[in-house]
Amino acid sequence: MGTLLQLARWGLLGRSLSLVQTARSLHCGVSSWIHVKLPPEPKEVDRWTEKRALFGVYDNIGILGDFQVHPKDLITGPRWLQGWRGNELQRCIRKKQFVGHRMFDQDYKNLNKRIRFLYRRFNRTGKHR
Amino acid sequence: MIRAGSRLWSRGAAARALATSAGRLGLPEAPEPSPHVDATTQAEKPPLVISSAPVLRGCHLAIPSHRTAVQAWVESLRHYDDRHVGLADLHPDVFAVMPRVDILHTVAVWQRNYKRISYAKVKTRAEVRGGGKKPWAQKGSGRARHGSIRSPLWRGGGIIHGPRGPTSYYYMLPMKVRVLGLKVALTAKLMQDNLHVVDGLDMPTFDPQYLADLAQYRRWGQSVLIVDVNKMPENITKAAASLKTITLVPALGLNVYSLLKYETLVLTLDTLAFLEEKLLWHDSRYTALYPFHLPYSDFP
Repeated sequence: MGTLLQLARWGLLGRSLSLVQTARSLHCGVSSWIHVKLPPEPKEVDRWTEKRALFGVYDNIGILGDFQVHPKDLITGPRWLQGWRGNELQRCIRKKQFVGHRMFDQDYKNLNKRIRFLYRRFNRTGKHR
Repeated sequence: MIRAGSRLWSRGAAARALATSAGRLGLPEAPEPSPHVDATTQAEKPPLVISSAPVLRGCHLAIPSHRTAVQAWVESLRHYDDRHVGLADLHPDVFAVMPRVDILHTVAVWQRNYKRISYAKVKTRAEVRGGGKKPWAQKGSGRARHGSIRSPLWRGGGIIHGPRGPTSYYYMLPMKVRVLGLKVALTAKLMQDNLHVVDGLDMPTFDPQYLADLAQYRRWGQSVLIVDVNKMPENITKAAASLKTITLVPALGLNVYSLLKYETLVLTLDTLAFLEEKLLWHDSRYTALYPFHLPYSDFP
């Protein structure tokens, strides 16, 4: 009964029911209802948006275009990470080299603390030092 | 040759010509269309429109003596049924390589990941605000001993091994592996009847419906990738701008991921020459002593 009232309320307010996770009720026995929750409906993903349709274009610009441009020049993101990969300590050190001079005070101090901690962790503890 | 040709003319749909192109055998350039009428052809399609001067494209680069060229029909976009304008020879070392599915996978995964930068970051106990003071004395209160309210044991405390800072997943595959990936992808498209060669991208109208109907009539599939080296004419640019699954891409933008995403590939004759030249050079080049973007004296 509770679900019927809820459905009526939604209908009066004019809301759409399709997005609501509908709950079925099974009547078993004289006066006992089991509320069965259904799995959520799969969300509709448009596979042909501009970004998805053109993903990967210009990845071979070096091979097909005289090597003047390298695919790593296409990467957008933090400048200390473009076309480069490293573990956490290496990333912290590189961030300090590139951007440390203009970081906020508290962030810079946290970065230094992190570098100090990771150096000691990698080079003084554990099996691989 | 004429007998094989007539069988092919009557079958109509994309079929590899087994005979060599006319130019090589010294036969006349314009084969007469001998109407080989079947019950099947009468039921399938209207009679073919065959031009009197077919476009025959030979391979410009040398083919090894133990292999022969693969072939594809040259089509045209000027009329919705212009499917047999000519015949193009394709280099076997670009369009008929071993179908290495593992290389396709490797290159597609590389394309997905090399430009990925994950921005997930969580604060450690040192970075979470607060937590410098010992919350209660070590002994006497009856509660568990703690040094800071931001330790990982506490609610609202720092995370120990969480994602740390923008992480980059950049790596590069060897150049020859990426080149081979392109060759395998082009081979797969040709061998699965998904490659169509077009003499040019001239269209009679800029109506997107014309392009969509043409693709549907010729059974190109759900998605079409059209590649050209030169500047594309306005008509096709306008038509493809409003279509989601038909995309125009310059030849520099060809890549394995797009070839796997789109069902059909449409290349122009100039693009064929461009791709063959670029991809075959790697088969016989010296190893790079220094990066290729720096000047070399023996090749441009």
